[in-house]
Amino acid sequence: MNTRPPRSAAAHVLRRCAHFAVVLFAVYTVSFFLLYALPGDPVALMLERRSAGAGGGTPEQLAALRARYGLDDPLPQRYLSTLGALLTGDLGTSFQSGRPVPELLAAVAPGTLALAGAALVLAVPFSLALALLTSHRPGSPAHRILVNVPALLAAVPAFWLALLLVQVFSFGLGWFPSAGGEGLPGLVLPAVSLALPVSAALTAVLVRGLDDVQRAGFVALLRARGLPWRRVYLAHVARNALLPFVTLTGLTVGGVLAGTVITETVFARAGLGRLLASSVETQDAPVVLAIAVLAALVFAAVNLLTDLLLPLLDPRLRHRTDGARA
Amino acid sequence: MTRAPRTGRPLAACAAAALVLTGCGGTATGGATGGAPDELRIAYGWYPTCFDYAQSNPFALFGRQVLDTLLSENPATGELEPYLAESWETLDAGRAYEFTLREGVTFSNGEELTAEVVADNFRTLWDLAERGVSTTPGAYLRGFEQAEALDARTVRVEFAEPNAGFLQANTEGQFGIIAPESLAAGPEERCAHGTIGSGPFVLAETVQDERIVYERREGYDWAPAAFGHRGEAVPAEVTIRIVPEESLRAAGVLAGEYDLAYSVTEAGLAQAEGRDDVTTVLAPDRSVVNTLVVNTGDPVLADPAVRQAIQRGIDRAELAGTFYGAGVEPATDVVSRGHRFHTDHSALLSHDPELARALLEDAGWATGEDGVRVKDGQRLELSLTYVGTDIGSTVSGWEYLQSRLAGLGIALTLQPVSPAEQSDLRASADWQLAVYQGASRGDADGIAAFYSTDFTHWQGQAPRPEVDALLAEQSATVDPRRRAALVDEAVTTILEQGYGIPLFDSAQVLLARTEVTGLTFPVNAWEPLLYAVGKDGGER
Repeated sequence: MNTRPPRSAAAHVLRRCAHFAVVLFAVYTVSFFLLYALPGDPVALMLERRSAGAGGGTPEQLAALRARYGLDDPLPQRYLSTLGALLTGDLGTSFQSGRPVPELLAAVAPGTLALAGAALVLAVPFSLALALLTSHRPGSPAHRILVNVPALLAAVPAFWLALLLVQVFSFGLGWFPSAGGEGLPGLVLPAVSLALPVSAALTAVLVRGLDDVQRAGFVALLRARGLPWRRVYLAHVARNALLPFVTLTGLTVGGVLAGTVITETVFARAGLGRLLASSVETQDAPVVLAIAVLAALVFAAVNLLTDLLLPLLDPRLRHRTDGARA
Repeated sequence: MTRAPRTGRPLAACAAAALVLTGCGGTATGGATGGAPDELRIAYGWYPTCFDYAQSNPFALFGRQVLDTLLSENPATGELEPYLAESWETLDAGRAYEFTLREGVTFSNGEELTAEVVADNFRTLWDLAERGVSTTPGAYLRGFEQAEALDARTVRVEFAEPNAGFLQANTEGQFGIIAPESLAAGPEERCAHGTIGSGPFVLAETVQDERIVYERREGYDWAPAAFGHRGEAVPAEVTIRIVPEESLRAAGVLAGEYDLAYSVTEAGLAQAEGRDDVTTVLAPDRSVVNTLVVNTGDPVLADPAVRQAIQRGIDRAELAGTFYGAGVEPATDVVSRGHRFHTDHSALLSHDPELARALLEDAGWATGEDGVRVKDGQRLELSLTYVGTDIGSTVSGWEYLQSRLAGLGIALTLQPVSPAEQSDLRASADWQLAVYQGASRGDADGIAAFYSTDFTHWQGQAPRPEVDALLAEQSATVDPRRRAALVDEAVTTILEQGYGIPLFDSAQVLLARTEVTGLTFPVNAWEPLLYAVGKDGGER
């Protein structure tokens, strides 16, 4: 247990922000060395793909292009110059398409934001409701059945679920478009297929929390005082069980971002996930690096936010905000 | 050929499972069935990284729709026919060419087609080639010296050495004639936004990773006779949807959401079984076929007996028939059946394991204790590298090859690599056997680019002066008969010596709704002629 005197809220915020910066820096470093230390010459690969086997240019032409993309500089120097460029907002140019990376990201990011947002908007209330329903009467037949639902949802592979949804609701019933990201109708199926596996984890954690809190002494005390169960359950049990749920929701953002790779592929939607998958395949390092750092930025920011939010939800945390949970 | 990535097999397998669950076979009642009669809807797997055909071969489907070329090739006869050029002349034994342009042709931005514009097209292509960004047109323009407008309608192109393949290159999309506005744009801009041509369609909309829409060009009236249609394009609008998952491309055609789906494999065809409203369309490749590239500079493969034993030790019919699906045929030549320079050489490629064993015995390769042959302490061990993500690359096929060669006493190690690793290996000269398919070019220069050690980008091969000289001579020989004879002589030597081991000839497999009419592939498998494609009931 931490014995140092509690620090001010400002110190806590600063500390969290420092963690945030360290995470981003680490992601950049690992991604950079993974991408640029890989075998393969991205310029030769680009020309090879462009010419589709017709010949990839002369050694002189390759050398000129390599120089243009700065690939001849020593790795440590490129590491620093790329970092400097990123810090000034220069994300570079795609090796494959020759287009500026921000332009590529801007073209597809709104689709991913809409998809991830919609998935969370579906997943969070759905898992809240399901968990509250499951845990309402511990030991009841409903509890015994519903408690298995998250495991079932988690067991369904995301791409299989997505294909099933397309077959039934697009090709079969014709209710939703099967491909493309236009408008609200195009968002429904991808959001559902992304939200269901995410809900599984959220529900499971919340049910566990609700069940545990119900066994606490203060619950028995409140019930003994004659408070109605519904009030005890919602105002006291649920509130206490919500803490790990909030943390997990923050972590879930990562899962949702990762899930977009498959969801966007199956539903033929433009998005960061698809761009990432195709860029990894073609070793388009500037694009992969930018998406990795962007994803880390979003993920770390959301978790920073939940970290800062928790003390507001739980008064106990306000007095031991440093050290213990780092 | 076009090498495009393939999405994972698990997806396809699960699509099949999903189909079974939903009993989709007979329940396709999607509201979109049929679509507008003059709107063509195509499902395609990959969004183009570059819209400029001159810089990017793999996305032929996209670049080609807005372009016209100076000449066209009659697919039935192989003859060159007028297109934007009304007539042409070969001068100075292939060192110069003069084209007389058709009158009244405009680009879709209103600019006029003139001799000066065409000359500028060739100069710009050569400039891009020298900067390393358009290697294929660079190869087509080998020896380019200058292009000039002799008058408003006559263009003269001159080469330092005879360039016999140049006329044929003028039927290829890389030589699509573009408007001055596009000539003034830099290579990146051309890639990002495409080029302005005089073709039957204009690019109307692009949505990254989702769709590309073409609209019919009003007033278009200069299609060549080989296209089988006159005037404006049949479809008013063409929408190409990017659907990465192959089983969904096929399912979309079955449900009537698309008229046509590209690159359909066994999983997709299985869905279509028993359906009479869809049909399978095979678009034959027109390239150097899928081949085992042989590093003749390698100590083991330097022995002609080893190469010849592999050449005759492979049962191509069994390989193609067992491990590959519709549209894959055993190779009968270094190039595909649809290639202008195809000659049936199947006698040189027939399966003869006894001959293969005898060749190895005679060369001193004696069977060792573990069944692997040995000569002077050197074991007959070879490594085969292949890119697992290439279309047409099936691991089980290479395993079959491995087991058949083991029967001859050749120990083959399979080495799957990424495209990047293959690219590195090829440049390093440190490889033995590799699987590769040549680029799509309907001219003998495509064979030279693959097999001449002067041009090939597979480093490390021992020079083969005889073949190199023949391939160089054919590319400077204008007389068609003489040229064909030279090519045949070179190819015969290549096959006899085992400088390359052709395996199988593949085709693009498409799934189309039966109401689709007029779908042809006059240039190559990746360039459907959408201009004349209609739907029953939608004909103008």
